[in-house]
Amino acid sequence: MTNQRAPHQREPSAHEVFEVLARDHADHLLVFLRAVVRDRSMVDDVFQETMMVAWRRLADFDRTRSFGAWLRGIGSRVAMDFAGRRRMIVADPTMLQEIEEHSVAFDGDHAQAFQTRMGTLDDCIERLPTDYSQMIQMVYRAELPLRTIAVNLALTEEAVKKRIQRARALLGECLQRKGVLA
Amino acid sequence: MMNTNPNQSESNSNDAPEDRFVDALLTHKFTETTESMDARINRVLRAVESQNNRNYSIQNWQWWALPIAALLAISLLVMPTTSSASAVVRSAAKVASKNVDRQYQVVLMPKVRRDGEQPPPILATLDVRDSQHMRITIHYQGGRTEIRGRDGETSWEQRPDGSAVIADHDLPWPRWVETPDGSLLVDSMAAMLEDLDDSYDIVRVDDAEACGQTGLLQIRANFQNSELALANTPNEKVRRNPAERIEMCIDPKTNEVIRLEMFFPPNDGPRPDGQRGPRTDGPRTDGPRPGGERGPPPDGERGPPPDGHRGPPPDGERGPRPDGPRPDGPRAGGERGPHRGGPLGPPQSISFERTDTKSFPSNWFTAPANAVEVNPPQ
Repeated sequence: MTNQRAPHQREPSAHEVFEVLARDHADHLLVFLRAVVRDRSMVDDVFQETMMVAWRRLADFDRTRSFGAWLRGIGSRVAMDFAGRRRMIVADPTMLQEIEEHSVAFDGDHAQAFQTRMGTLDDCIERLPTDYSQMIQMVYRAELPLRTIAVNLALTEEAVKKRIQRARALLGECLQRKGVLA
Repeated sequence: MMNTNPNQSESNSNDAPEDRFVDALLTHKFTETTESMDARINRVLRAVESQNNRNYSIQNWQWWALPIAALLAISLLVMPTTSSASAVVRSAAKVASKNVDRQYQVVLMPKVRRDGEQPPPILATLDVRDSQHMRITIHYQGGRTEIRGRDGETSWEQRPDGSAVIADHDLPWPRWVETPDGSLLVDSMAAMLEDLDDSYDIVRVDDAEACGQTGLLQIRANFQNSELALANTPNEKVRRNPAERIEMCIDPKTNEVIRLEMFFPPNDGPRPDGQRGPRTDGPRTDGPRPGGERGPPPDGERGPPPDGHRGPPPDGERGPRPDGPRPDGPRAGGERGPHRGGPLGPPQSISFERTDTKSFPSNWFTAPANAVEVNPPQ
């Protein structure tokens, strides 16, 4: 048995390799950048720029390492640079490191792993008490303003914020139990 | 305290990394679809493709294609200041894909000479239909006019005496578009514009008067000197000769660039990358210049310009290279003797302003019928 390619099999071009890697890791990169940046208007630009830097530096990528981790490393630097230009603070080095640790735990070798882990998130949402799952739906699915939610539920905005945070904390605990969060 | 930033998630994740990560997961789950992710990736791949084609494009567009490059680059890169990038890209791509006759007035202001005299500006009119159909009329001092065009298949030049040359390759550039290191100024600018978001701080300027027309969006791009920005700028020439400031007036309704002006740093000032002086890193590392066929001939002389006489450069300046002797050694073919008028370097500024839209005749970009020479020696 030999690893030699048959004559009719051509080597994939760098562009083709990059497209496969970019598609496989795009979701996870976007999650990571959202955690780091949070400013929605900036996330799109940081994502695009991260991918472009990755393309330009593709030859530097060490294939023995995780492409996702390499991509997130670029993303961190791009995010810090963008934030610096806008005189914003996105995350300090400790925060970046801890977000990266969660990302590593969530990481997989290919896109299917990401979708599998998102399925785990679905399971965890389903297990939330009704008040909390309702809150997740209103905030993230319906994207209702906090004020609207507060009025509808006869709560103060502060109470709404606390309930959302509690819902996320419960989700975090669930994901940790299932081994997909650090 | 409530979040007052409309762009920031209202979910108010706190500063615990785990909370931020879960917040990001939830946002991703509920806002992203297969289609939206495909759109993101496709945008990246288009940009990659565009970058791959850059050298080919510059080589084939000639320097008068700069405004096209500017329109495309700025439309794609500058606008995401107020709305989502994907929405802007959609609208900008729409604009960029239009093949509409356009005309720009071009004003190139040379640098002040060493004796303190300000050379007169060089004026030109640029007519554009698309990336393959362009025509520029350059008005030099003294009434000399040069017309160059590209009709999709050939490049041509109408000489001052009325004769014309036609070629299926790029014709030489006017000397004043060269930078001190011998590269093409407009090549630098085109590459610079394509990398605009890598190297420049791009901000909206709330100065309604600046663009001279109510309702135009003013964008200012200042060259920034961060290590990352410089590292991300793939083109060496961009790092060496960046415009220090670019002002743009954009019609927010159409995403069209109405006016664009680039300002370059003084000759004797520090470069934004902190370097001065001639190239010290050996020969060009980015391969031959676009249209590489136009290097100096073997005898070391440039050869006469297409109009048959050399004459002074447009601003009349002569003398030694402003940046010292050629860093890459003498020209092929031996010593050249006293320098007889080196490249002028970047100008003070160059501006492009769109005139009222007009349609050109169908043969406006076609080579003149009286072309007397086909494919002159390169």
